[in-house]
This record gives sequence, structure tokens and C-alpha cells, in this order.
Amino acid sequence: MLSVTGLVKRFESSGDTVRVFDGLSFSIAAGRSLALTGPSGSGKSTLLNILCGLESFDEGNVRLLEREVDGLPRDAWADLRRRHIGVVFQDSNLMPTMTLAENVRLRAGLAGRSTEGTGDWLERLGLAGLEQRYPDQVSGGQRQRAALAMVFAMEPELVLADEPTGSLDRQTAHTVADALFRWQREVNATLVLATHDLPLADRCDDGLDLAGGA
Amino acid sequence: MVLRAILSHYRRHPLHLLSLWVILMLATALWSGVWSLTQQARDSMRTGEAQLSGRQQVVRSDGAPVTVEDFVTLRRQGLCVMPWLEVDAGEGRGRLVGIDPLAMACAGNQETGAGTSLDGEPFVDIHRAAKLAEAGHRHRLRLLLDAPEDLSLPPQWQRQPDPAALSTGELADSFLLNLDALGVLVVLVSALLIRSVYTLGLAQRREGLALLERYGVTRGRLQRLLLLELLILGLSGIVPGYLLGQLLADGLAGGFGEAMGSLFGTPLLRGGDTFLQFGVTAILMLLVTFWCGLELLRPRGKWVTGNRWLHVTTVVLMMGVGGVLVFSGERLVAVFAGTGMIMAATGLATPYLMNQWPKTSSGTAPLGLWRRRETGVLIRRLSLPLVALQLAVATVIAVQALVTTFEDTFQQWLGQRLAGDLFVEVPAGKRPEDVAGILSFQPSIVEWHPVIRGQVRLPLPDGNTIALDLMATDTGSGLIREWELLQSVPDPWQAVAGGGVLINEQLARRHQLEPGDTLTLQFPEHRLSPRVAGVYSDYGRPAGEVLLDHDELPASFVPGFQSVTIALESDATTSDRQSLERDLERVWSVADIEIRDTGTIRELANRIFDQTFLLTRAISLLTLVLAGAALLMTGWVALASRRWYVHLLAVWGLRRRERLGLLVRLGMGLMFRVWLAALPLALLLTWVLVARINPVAFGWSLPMAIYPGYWLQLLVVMVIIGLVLGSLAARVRRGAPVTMPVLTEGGER
Ligand SMILES: Nc1ncnc2c1ncn2[C@@H]1O[C@H](COP(=O)(O)OP(=O)(O)O)[C@@H](O)[C@H]1O
Ligand SMILES: [Mg+2]
Repeated sequence: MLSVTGLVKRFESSGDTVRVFDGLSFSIAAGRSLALTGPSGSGKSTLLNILCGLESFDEGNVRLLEREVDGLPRDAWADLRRRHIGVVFQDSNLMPTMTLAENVRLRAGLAGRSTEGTGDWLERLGLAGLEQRYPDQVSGGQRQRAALAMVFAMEPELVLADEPTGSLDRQTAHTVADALFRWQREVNATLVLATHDLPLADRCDDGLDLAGGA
Repeated sequence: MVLRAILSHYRRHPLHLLSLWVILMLATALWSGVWSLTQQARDSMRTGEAQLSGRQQVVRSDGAPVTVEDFVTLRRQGLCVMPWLEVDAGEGRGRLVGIDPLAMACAGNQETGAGTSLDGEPFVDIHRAAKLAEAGHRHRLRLLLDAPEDLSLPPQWQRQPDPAALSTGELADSFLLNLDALGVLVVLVSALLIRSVYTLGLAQRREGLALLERYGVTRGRLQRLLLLELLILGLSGIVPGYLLGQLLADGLAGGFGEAMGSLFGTPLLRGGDTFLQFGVTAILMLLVTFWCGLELLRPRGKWVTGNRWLHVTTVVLMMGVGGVLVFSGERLVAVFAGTGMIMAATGLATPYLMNQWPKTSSGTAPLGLWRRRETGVLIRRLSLPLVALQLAVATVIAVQALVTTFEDTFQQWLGQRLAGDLFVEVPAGKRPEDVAGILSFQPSIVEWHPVIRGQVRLPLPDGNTIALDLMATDTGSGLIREWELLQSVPDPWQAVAGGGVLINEQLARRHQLEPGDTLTLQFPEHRLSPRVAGVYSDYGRPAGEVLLDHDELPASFVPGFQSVTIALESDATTSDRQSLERDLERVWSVADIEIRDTGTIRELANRIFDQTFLLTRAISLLTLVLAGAALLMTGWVALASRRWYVHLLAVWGLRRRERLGLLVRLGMGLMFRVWLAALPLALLLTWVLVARINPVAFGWSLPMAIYPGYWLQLLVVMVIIGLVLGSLAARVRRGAPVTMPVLTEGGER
């Protein structure tokens, strides 16, 4: 499903070269989940960005969704993200000008999925009755659950989650994580989850510690 | 330390500082430039009128210009004449007037005395002016006289009313008032812009300021520091802006002065109170700057979102009162005030109305919804600069319509007035009838008619009389009969030939005269009571005028100015013209007469016309440029704050071209709405200008014409602004970090 071999990523910042990855290799089979751990600045977000084509890399080989992605044009990357890769950030996953239902419908519509069942997704995530609210009218946990509903509604094969519970309290984080894992098992999607919350990382099938450049 | 922290915002956003400063400076320049010009013009007219009221001038009977020898001879004969030497100071610096202080008493200035007006420019001692004249500057000498009527001049000289002594009247005043109104509009628009740019920056700084407060800097101290910052910013923009304005005024003074001189007979004189001008400009612009700072003094917390009903009531009330003032105001000030109120009310209502549109239209495409919602956000965030742009666009459209309509109408009118090919001034002391013989028998002449101009008085019901311009001609002439009449009795020319008169629109409006009415014309020893046969349009002047057949003039009438208009055969040659000139000189027994081509005069008139409106056009266009540039800057900042959401679209798989298309459509749609919102206001303004302000100010109305071609040109410009905005916003660079926005209640939507 996803394999990375000898990945090298450098950042040039004010004359200095920072090597974030220096020959990183790992792989995940379809339907499994992988936890990316490591302290702040260890490259979790950078790796997720590389895996969805929002960031380039310098050396190495990345295969995902049965494709060799080296040299994949940007538009092809965009098409992959549109239909096959769901991304969840720590916060601000929703368009603030649209209601929760409209957000879910927009994401599903972009992925070419039916927009009929969006209400169901929100309901299943415990957001019944909040469909017509705007993102700033619900709590942070509800926003993250709505973000999950958006990802679920687009039916992706690969989900990249960057500290999806990072700004939530323990209890809320737990319910959000529950929903994510339940769905992942159900549809047999592949999940890469960056977090520095160790209990959460333990719930994944595999783990990759980026501390000190794996 | 604290100051450093406060100013660090501008170090991070130098463009922000620059745009504030540029807008402030340009606005100051525009305002002070216009103000300085109108002030100069007002002063010139006032001094001119005070100096010249009720005087007469001495001209030579042979028609040649008066010289210094004439002055010397007359003074030797004990006649009290005053020399008046106008010299062009060159390089658009206006004109200087040289006078002889000792002779001031000869020209009706006993009471004002010479001292006060001789203190400075434009009035200088005649020796200084003479030096300039000798050095080759353009100049003209006049000899003024304020002697009793019975004082007789030697036969070589004649007395004539001093043309400059006629009051410049309301026309010049309203011309200047129009410019003033434009100046006020510039200040209004720039105030909106400065405030919008500043508050946008303030929103970005809010977090930093809150941090400072948490470190123990008191709120009062912060406010004082920010106000100090505004003061410094204000002054640093106002001073160069003022200087730039003076340069602008100097640059325009040449053309403007020529226009003033030709339209109103008032030369633009140099001078003006620089200190006062700078003071007023500085205070005004500082007020504008501090208006932005009011935001700082607001109690902490949310925006004061006023009562919706209060808002609606204010708009309706302002529209209503403004409408009443515009429709039925008798005075110019009332019409202007009403127009201002309607514009302000439109400005208040526009963001709301523009926002209704995206709400009501319901598309199904998901991205269409996104675009409409984002448009709504931008309309709210950019409401001030959008309204400023709307007002600017409306003004530019209205001014363009007015000027173009006037230009077209003026052309037609000029064509009427300058019918025929040649125009000959009858020398002083001669009569047009003397040459009737030759003119009628020249084979190259198709038609000719005399034009006799002078003054007559019109008794009013209240016992006073007012002066009217009088024009007498051969109303049987085919050239005259081509005149178009606004209103008339049946067969008006027959009526005029039988003793009726035609009057101009100014006279008809001011004294409610209609075809069929009878009016009384009072000559020095005679009275006529003709019927009004028709009303003709007469642009460019405020004065009333009557036209009658020259056979109806009483024998004792003293003409002020006489000319002959001649239409030639199409195959007339230069030698025909030369022999005509020789014949006229022989019959009138003068050395040199001047035959002028009406084409040349028409060209001159058009040039003057263009210069008159150059300033109006320039100001309204500059306002538009200012508003457009400011919108571009504020729009850029506003869109930059939405960068995360554009990034989200990229994460969701929108291709680069799709994002570009989406944002470009958003930008262009926004501008299209502003343009659309400006149109009704533009139509209203056009109508107010041609149908209300013109008749109240000048006594004549213009047909209302609209120029959709020009609207489309503006639309293209605005769509380009939207295009630039959209493409700037669409840039998401790979690898460039995009910071996530902090979601606060209502803050992001
Ligand atoms: N655009 C960039 N330019 C320069 N350095 C960057 C950029 N993005 C990330 N980095 C650097 O790469 C490293 C990894 O960052 P990041 O992936 O955000 O870490 P994490 O998500 O684990 O906290 C950090 O040292 C960061 O400073
Ligand atoms: Mg990170």
C-alpha cells in the first residue's frame, strides 16, 4: 500500500541546511494503521506533507496507492488527494463560512461521492442537530468530529492525520480517536497518524519513532 | 522598548505602512491642490471686481490698442486716467497687474485707497510690470477712467464700458463650487480608505497589543502611543502631500488660468495665503487620520454592532431628506448637501445590499457556494474601501457624462453662434450698414448679417431694473434662422420680424417667462414692450439675453460691440477674401481690419472648453485611481488572511488552475458588484448635475445623456483589479508554511 525507502529531505533556511530525514525507510500494508511519534520538530508534519504531495523530497523512493510518486506532476497529486487521500489537521479543517453539513457535502462532492448521506455521517459522529451550525458555533471536539465526517464521506483509501486530537482534552480526544479507529477498521482504510500522545499511538497497529531521525 | 514593540508591526508589514502613507499623501495633495487653485481663483475674482467695479476704459477711435503715448497725452490734457498693465508672469505663474498708485484715485478707488491692494502680488507698481513687459512678456495696457458722463474726450478717443468691470457673476462661483464639492469628495473617499487600511492593520496587531497589555503596559499608555504613532504618520504624509499639491496646482494653473480668463474675463492672479492653506489642509487631514484612531478608543471587546433598525432608519431618513433637498432645493448648497446625504446613505446601504445577493442566489455547485460565502466575508471586511470605490466610480461616470454632454451641446451651440465662415469686428465709431452695399454685391458672398451687441435694462415688478445683454441682428438671415429653439410660439421668426423677441433660457428660467408673454425693455430714452416669440438655449453664461431684429432698435441705442458674420460661396478663394478686406477697409476708412475665420474661433473655444474641464476630469479620475489602488492593497491584505482556506482547497485536491479560476472569479465578481452598485448612483448623480445643479447654478439645463461605452470601459478596469486580486490570492507555494487561523466567534465568516 505505502512504502518509503531511503527518503532524504533537506530544508534550506537562512543559509543553513537542515536534514529532516536522512535515509528514512518504512512501509505499511493496506488496511493497517501506523503511528508517527517524536517530539516537536522531528518531522512528523513534513513526512505527512510528503505523503500527500504538498511537500517535495530530495532523495529516495515513495510508493503509495500502487503508484511510483517520484516526479508525479502536481495536478496528478491534486487528483490523488481529491479522491483517495483524506487529510485531518489539528484544527481548522473546515471552511468557516459554511455549516457543518455544507462542509461535509463540499468534501464529498469534490471527491465525486454522493452527497446524499452526509447527514448520516454527522449523526453517526454524534453531531445530530448541529448540521446547520457554523464551525465557530460548535466546540473544538465537535469540529474535529465534523472533520472526520468530511473524510469518511469522501471514502478515501489512505488517511493522513496530523495530531488530530492535539488541541482537545483527554475525554474528547478519546471519543474522536474512537470514531476514527472504528471507521478505519470498518472500511479497511490505511491510516498514518502523527501524534505525541503515547496511549493514542499504542492503539495503532505499527509505530515509527522519528526522534533523532529514524 | 514598548514603542519598538508597537512599531515592529510595520517592520513586518512595510507595505502596510507604505500604503497608509501613500494614500494620506495623495489625498492631501489632491485636496490642497484643488483648494489652492479655487482659492486663487476666488481671490482673483474678488480683487478684480473690487478694483474694477463700475469703471470705464478709454479706447482709441481708430481701433488700435492704446499705448503709453495715449496715456501721456491724456494726462497732459488734465484727464484723470489710470494705467492698468497686465503682464503674463510666465511659466503658468499667473498674471501681474501693474498700476500707478498715484493715479488710483482716477479709477474709483478713493475709498479702498491704494495702499492695501498694492502691498503684494498680483498688484505691483507699474514700473515693475513695465520692466517685465519690456523683457518680452506678453502684456496688455488699458486706460481706466472714472469720470462723470459729461466729461468729454478728444475725438481720437472714446469711452467704453470696461469689459472686466462686468460682474463675473454666479457662473464663476458655481464653477468653483463644483470644484470644491469634488475636493470634499476626495477627502471623503480618502478618509474611508485610510480608515479601512488602518483598521485592517489594527486587527492584525491586536494580538501583539494584547500581549503588551499582559506584560503590564496600561491600556491608556498603549492608546497614547498609538495616537502618537498616528500623529507622526499623519504629519509625515501631510507635509510632502501639501508640497505635492502645490506642485499640482502650479502645473494646472496655466490651463486653469487661461480657462478662467476666457470664461469669466478674470485672470488667475498669483498669491494666496500659504500659511492659512497649509493650516487648513493639515488640520483637515489630521482629523481624517484621527478618525481612524477612534477605533482605539473604543471600549475593549466586540465591535459595536449597531441596532439594525436604527441603521435602516438612518439610511431611509438620509435618503428621504437628501431626496427632498435635491429635488426641490432652491439653492446650490442645498442641492449639494442633498447629494452628499444620498451618497452617504448609499454608502451605508451598499455593503448590506451587496451581501443580500450571495445569500439569495442558491447555486448547487459546492464550490459556487464557497465562492459566494467568501465574497460575503470580503464585502464585510472591505466595506469601507468598496464603498469608497463605488462612490468614486459613480462620480467618474457622472462627471464624464456631464462633460461629454456639455461638450456635444456646446459644439452644436457654437455651430449656431458661429454660423458662416468669416467674422469681422466693426471698428469703433463705424456702422455695419456702411458696408451693406459691398457685402450685398460681392459675388463670393452667399449671405451676411450684422450682429449688434449692447445692454438694455429690464424693469422688475419690485421697481428695480436689471441689465440684460442685447443682441440685434437681421432676423431674416438664413444663418440666424437655423437656430434651434427650446420653446416658441407658432412661426416664431415671423413674430420676431414683426417686432417680437427671442430670449435665452437663462432669462426665461430666472423670470419665469414663456413664449407669448410680454416683457419691457428699457432703453435710456425709450421703452419697448415686445412679445416673447421663443426661447433659445445659450450655454456657458449666466446672463440673460434678448435677441431682436436690428430694425427694431431705437435710433439712440449705443452699441457696445458690433460685428458682421459672412457666409462665403464654397469656391471662394484667398484673393476674394483679400479684396473683401480691402473693400471693407476702404469703406470704413481704417488702416487695418481683421477678418477672422469662425473655424479658428471655434477651435479656440474648444481649447478653452477642454481646459475648463481638464481639472474636473483629472480630479475625478485621480480619485478613482486612489480608490482602486487602495482597494487593491486592502483587498490583498484581506485575502492574505484567508490564505489557509485556499490552502485547504489545495489539500482537498483542487488543481492550481481550478484554484486560480475560483479566486479570479471571486475577485472579478466582487468588482462587478461594486460596479453594478455604482450605476444607479451614477445615474442619479448625472441627473442631479445636468437637471438640478446646472439650472440652479447657471440657468440652463442640459439634456441627460448616458454613455454605456464608458461604463464598460470602467468595468474592464475594475474587472482587471479583481483579476489581479484573485490571482494574488490563489498563489499557494509548495513548501511555504501556511499558518492556521485562530477561530474566534464570527471572526472568520
Ligand atoms: N518550510 C520549512 N522551511 C524550513 N524548515 C522547515 C520547514 N518546514 C519544516 N521545517 C523544519 O523541519 C523540521 C520538522 O518540522 P515539522 O515537520 O513541522 O515537525 P513536527 O511536525 O514533528 O513538529 C523542523 O525543524 C522545522 O523547523
Ligand atoms: Mg507538526
